[in-house]
Amino acid sequence: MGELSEQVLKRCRSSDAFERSLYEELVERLRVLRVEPVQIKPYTARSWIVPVATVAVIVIVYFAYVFTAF
Amino acid sequence: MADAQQDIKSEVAFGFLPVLKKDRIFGWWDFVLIQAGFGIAAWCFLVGGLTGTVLEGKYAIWVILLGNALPVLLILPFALQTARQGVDTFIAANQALGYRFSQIFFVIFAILNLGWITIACFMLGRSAIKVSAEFGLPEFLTTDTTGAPIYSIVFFALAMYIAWRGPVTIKRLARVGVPAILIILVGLIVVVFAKYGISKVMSSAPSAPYETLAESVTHSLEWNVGLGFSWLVYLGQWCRMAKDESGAINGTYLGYGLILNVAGIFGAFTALLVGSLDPTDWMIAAGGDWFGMFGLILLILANLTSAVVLIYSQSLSVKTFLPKTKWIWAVLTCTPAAFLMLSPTFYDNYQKFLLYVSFIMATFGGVLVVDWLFLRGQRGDIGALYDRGNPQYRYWSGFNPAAVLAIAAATAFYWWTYNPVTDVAGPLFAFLGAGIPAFFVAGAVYYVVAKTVFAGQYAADREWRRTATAVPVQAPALAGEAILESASDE
Repeated sequence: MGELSEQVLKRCRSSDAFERSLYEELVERLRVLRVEPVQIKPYTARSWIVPVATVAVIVIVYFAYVFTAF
Repeated sequence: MADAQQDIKSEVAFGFLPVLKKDRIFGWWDFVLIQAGFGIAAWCFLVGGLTGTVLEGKYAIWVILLGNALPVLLILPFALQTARQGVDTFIAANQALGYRFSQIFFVIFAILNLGWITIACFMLGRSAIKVSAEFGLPEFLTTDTTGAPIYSIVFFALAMYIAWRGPVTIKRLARVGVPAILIILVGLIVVVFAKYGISKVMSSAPSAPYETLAESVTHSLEWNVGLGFSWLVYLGQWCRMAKDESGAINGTYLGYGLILNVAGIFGAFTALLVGSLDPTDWMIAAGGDWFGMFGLILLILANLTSAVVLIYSQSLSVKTFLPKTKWIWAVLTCTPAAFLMLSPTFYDNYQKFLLYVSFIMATFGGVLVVDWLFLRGQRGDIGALYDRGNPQYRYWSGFNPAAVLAIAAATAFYWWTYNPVTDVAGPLFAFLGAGIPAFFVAGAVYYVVAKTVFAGQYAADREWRRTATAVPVQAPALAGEAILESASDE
């Protein structure tokens, strides 16, 4: 847990209006994230079933069907 | 134009800032639609066409599926990082690479992006010369050496103008361009099934195979792997808006890893039937004069849209990196692509371009994934990702030396396994190509070097140990509340 450095804070005082508003918004958002760090529901093992299972099938078919035809 | 500039500033701000719960709007189905919509374009048909010129249909299907699905699965943990942290690709990459190395990664992305822009524009140029020939226009507008570059550069300038106009104009074009590419895909499917039949596809011989089946399979696998890994740099822009991590994983995989392959597979089938890898040759050969012309016009619209989206996304990224840059200069960073359009050489060497993409994205991908999964315990300090004054991800002058060494080692491994310049393959190439093994080499070297040579030397390692029991993602404490209050009051 570090603190925001002057590198960020000085941009909040930038003479460029766009840069200043951008970094002000950044600081505000980081403040929100500090209070509520995890914003979305984390994955579970089930989340990986479709990708892993389909790739497993593709790899098996590749080695059993294509690779053996070499 | 003032409204457009405001829209652009809003998009730059949105692309730069970490998203909050209220900004997270994408479920898995949204990911599938957006990523398939963005991804199905010239490059899918071309890589499919390349595969179909060297492989029979029965093998092409599995090579395309493996070459795209496996790399996308391998880079999914990085998608997870951007989804959890709610930040874009090059901001998330600060964590593993360090600020300055991440900037270099961005420059590499920008250079490769010029290649993708060139592919889209030159395919457009080739389509235009064929339309010109049908209309009996002067010869210099119908040849590959003069007409195609002229049309490519003219439409490239138009694409830059549309990108400069901002998101409202782009959305209008996309309403035509995205359906155009989908109509082409449906047209190819109809041609394959209704005109020729699947048995004809399966019995067709490839027009330019390598000497052995092994060479044809491994080379075409490597081209597809290049396309599969190429999505690494585009993951963050969508995944950071995920409503849940499961949606980001499955939506990204289904969109980029599986559904995109429909375009590749039918591209391969059409190339087998027509005997050419170039989609601009397929239209009239497969559809006849009228449908062919219609197909070529759709191809022009689709590629113009692709070029605009690529130019716009690169310009936004430049503006995100350098917020003070004027929008016109951000757009003009794409100008060097015009030099690649001066002759058909780059377009005709698309497969070599894919090989470079393969080794670059595989090596960076291996480091990014291993860092997030195994070195940082799927945690990160979001504030430090933005704060170069914070030592957390500064490493050695902004470079993570473990990442630099790993990428150098994996690059050497790739070139030893397969030299894309000379087309000479090493002994391991026949197994799974070079890109996928290079991904694992990069990840393994990075893990070992970070855990041994550079163990505990940088703030990122020390912080990870200190906060090992903390919440998965942390934002920093804010310094100088009074200063910030006054800043926000300005």
